Amino acid sequence: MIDGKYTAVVDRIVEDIAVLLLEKEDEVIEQVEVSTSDLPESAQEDGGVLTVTITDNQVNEITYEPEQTKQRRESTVEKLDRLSTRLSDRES
Amino acid sequence: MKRVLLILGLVVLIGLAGCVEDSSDNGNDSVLDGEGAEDSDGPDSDRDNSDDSDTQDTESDDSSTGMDPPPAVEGELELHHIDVGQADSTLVVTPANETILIDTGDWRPDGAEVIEYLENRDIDRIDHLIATHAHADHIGGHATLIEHFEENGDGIGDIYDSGVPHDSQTYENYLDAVDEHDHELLMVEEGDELPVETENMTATVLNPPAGDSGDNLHYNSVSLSIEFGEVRYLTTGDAEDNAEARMIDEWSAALEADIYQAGHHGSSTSSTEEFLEIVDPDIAIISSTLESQYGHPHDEILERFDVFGIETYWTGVHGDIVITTDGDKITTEPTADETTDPLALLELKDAIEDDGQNSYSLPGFTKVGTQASA
Repeated sequence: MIDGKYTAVVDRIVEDIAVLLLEKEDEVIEQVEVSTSDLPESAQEDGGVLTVTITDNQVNEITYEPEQTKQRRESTVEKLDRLSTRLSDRES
Repeated sequence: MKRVLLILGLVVLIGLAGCVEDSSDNGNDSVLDGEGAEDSDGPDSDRDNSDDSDTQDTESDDSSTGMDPPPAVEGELELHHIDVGQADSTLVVTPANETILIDTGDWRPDGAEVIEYLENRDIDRIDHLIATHAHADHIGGHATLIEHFEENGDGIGDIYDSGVPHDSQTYENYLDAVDEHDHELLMVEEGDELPVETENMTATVLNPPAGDSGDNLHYNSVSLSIEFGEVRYLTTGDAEDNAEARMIDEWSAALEADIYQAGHHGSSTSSTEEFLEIVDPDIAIISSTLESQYGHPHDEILERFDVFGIETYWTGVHGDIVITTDGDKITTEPTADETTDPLALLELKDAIEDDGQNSYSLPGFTKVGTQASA
C-alpha cells in the first residue's frame, strides 16, 4: 500500500470490523479493514465515501465525504433505475 | 427425516490439523438416501480416485411406505459450492444443463477463480446470473465474468439482482458491465419464480420482501429455494436473523430443505435456532475461508448444527463441495474428504486459531484443499 490519500467506500460492516475499498481511477485497488469505531460516526454503515490517508502503511486518517457520497449515490441509483426491470413486469 | 450417522476418529482431526490437503484419500462420497443406494460417480471428473469404499448410507428412513418410489424425474441437479475463500459463489447445473450462478466471489480475484472453475467444466454460458446482494465478497467477479462470457463465451442469459444499490466501485463496474452488454437487471422479490426451462425443477425467490423493504443489503439478500424431485436446496446469501424471521412468517413450509447453504458464511447473525427448526436440513454448507478474519463460521453456529445433527461442509476445509441429486438421492463430493461433524470442525477451527497469529491481513484467497486431487 503506497502512502497517500485515497478515495474509499465502506463496503460493509462485519460486526466490529469495517471493510473499506480503496480506489484509484475508477477501480478498487486495495481493501483495508479497520475497527468500526475508528470510522466517523456518520460513516458507520454500509456505503459512504471516505478520504483515507495512508502513512507508513497504516491507515492514518479517515474523513467522511457527505457531498461525494450524495453525488455518487444519486448517479448510481439513476443508473440502476435505467437498467432495472422487475422480473414480474418483464414482457415474456 | 434422513440422517447420516458419522463415525469420527481422532485420526481425522490429527490429519486435518497437520495437513488439510491430504490428497491420498479423497474419493469418499457421502450418499444420503432413504434406501441403500448405489453410489454414483459425480461430475467431478478431475478426481483421480473414485474409490467408493466409504459410501455412507442412511440408517433409517421415516417414510412409512417402506419402499420409495423410483425418482419421478430425469437427470441430475448439481450444486457446486466453489471454494472462493472468504466469499460466496455457487454454481447450479440443472438436469437440462441450464446454468445458474449465484454470486461470483470477492473483488480481489476479480472473477478469475470462478471463470476457471466454469471453464474446467466446459461451461461457456451462464443462463441465470444472480447477485444476492451488492457487497464486494458476493459481486466481486460480476463485471469481469459478464464481460468474459459475453466476449469469449456464449454469453449471459438473464441477470437478477436484489435491487438495493451500493456506493462501491465494484458495484458500479457491475452495473456498467450490464449496461455495456445491453442487459437489463431483473429485480426479484419474494414469490417470483426464476424462468428456468428445466422440467420438474423450480427456483423460487423467498427474499427480498415484496414492496418497499428499505435499503439494507443483508435484509434484502436474495434467498432462493430450488426444488428438484423430492429434494430441496435453500440458499439465503447474507440474510440475517431479521430476514430469517420474516421468511419464517411468510414462507414457513417453503423454507424446508434437505440442503442449506448457511447464511452469511456461518455467522451467528444468521441460522437462528427458529430458522433451523423450520428449514430442518440434513446437510449444510458454509462458504468461508479457514482462517476467516471475521471468525466465520462462528462457534455457536457449529454447535447449533451439531444439536440439529447436520452434516456440515465448509469450503475452507473441504474445498469445492459438489452436491448431486437425482431428485431422491443426494451425493456430496468435497474436494478434500474431511470430517463433516460440526464439533470436530469446531475443534479444528480452535486449533488453528490457537496456532496462528490472527492478524487482520487476509490470508490472500488461499484455497485450502482445492488442489487435493491434483
